[in-house]
Amino acid sequence: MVLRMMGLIFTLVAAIVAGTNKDTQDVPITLVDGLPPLHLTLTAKWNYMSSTVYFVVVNAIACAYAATSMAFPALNMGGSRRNWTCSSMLVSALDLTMVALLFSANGASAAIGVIALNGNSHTHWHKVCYAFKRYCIQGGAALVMSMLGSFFFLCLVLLLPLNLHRTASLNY
Amino acid sequence: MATHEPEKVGPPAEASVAEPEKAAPPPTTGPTDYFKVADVVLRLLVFASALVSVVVMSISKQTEIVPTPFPPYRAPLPAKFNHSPALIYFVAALCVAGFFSILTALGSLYSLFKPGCSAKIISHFIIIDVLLLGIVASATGAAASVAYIGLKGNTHVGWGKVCNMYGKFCRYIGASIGVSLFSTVLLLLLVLLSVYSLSKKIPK
Repeated sequence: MVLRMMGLIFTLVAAIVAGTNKDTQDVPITLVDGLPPLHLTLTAKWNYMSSTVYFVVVNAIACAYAATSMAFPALNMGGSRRNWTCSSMLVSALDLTMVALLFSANGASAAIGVIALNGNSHTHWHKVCYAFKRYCIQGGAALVMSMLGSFFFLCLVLLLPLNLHRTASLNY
Repeated sequence: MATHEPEKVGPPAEASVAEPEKAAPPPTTGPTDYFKVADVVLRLLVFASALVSVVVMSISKQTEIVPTPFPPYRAPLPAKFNHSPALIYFVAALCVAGFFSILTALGSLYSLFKPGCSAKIISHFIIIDVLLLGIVASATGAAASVAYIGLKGNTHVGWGKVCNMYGKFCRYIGASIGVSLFSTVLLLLLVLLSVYSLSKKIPK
């Protein structure tokens, strides 16, 4: 119950922080050495990159799921603890899919962040973070929040075999 | 003589006891045996798909002649998976996943032949499988995001497409990511199967 609440809070914060990520900067671009650099006003928004969009969407889904699934443990507490019903199976299956989705969104956002930070000389993808410092820092903070949230979802799923094993060994 | 008498008494008693015993085992041990067999098969499939992903990603090297602004005006430029840190992470994570999946496959084969403390083994395997699921899902997400940018490019950041020049490279990477997505789904099913079979062991 507590884990779901923590997961909800962290994914909500991550979704909001990543979703409000917008930065407009005056970027000096040096086309030819020796000439003064060209100043262009460029904007970096979260929905310019498909992986950040995926990140925000997945965090929003995980947050909504954590909110709706908080009802299940409350319903189960009323009944016997030893009842392993179909609804518990469904909740654990959905928890697992949330873990997988959250981890994939974290991986995607981290990969894009690394490319934006370091660039890739082989594919001629230039660094971006030297110009949009606030955008990159905010994106990094959202990633950390999402990692913490996915850690709590992971703990939720890891508690399943522990509880089952304890229940099974108590009866033997 | 003394040894023959218990033998004569033995078989009739065994015959009368054997019939209810024959009726009892199949309903209880049948489904759990299928679970264990399915468990081993799924784990071997996960290992196979991780291996296929790693191999396909590793052999996806392509060298193309690209125009350069200075003489000799045309130079060969290779594209390999280790040009991108996300793809290196993908290969490493899938190697780890393949290694652990073969270990757990051997473990569940062992528990198939010796049905001793299988509940403990299953709960340990669930933990390993969930962690593997997280690792493989994150690797798939990272590689897919980089591959998507390579496919479509991104005009806002000034990152150009790569796939219009390197067709074979992009196809191989796409296939590798597709197979790793399949192994993610398999790992998910494995955990659900293990949780279900563990829940069956709780007497109601």
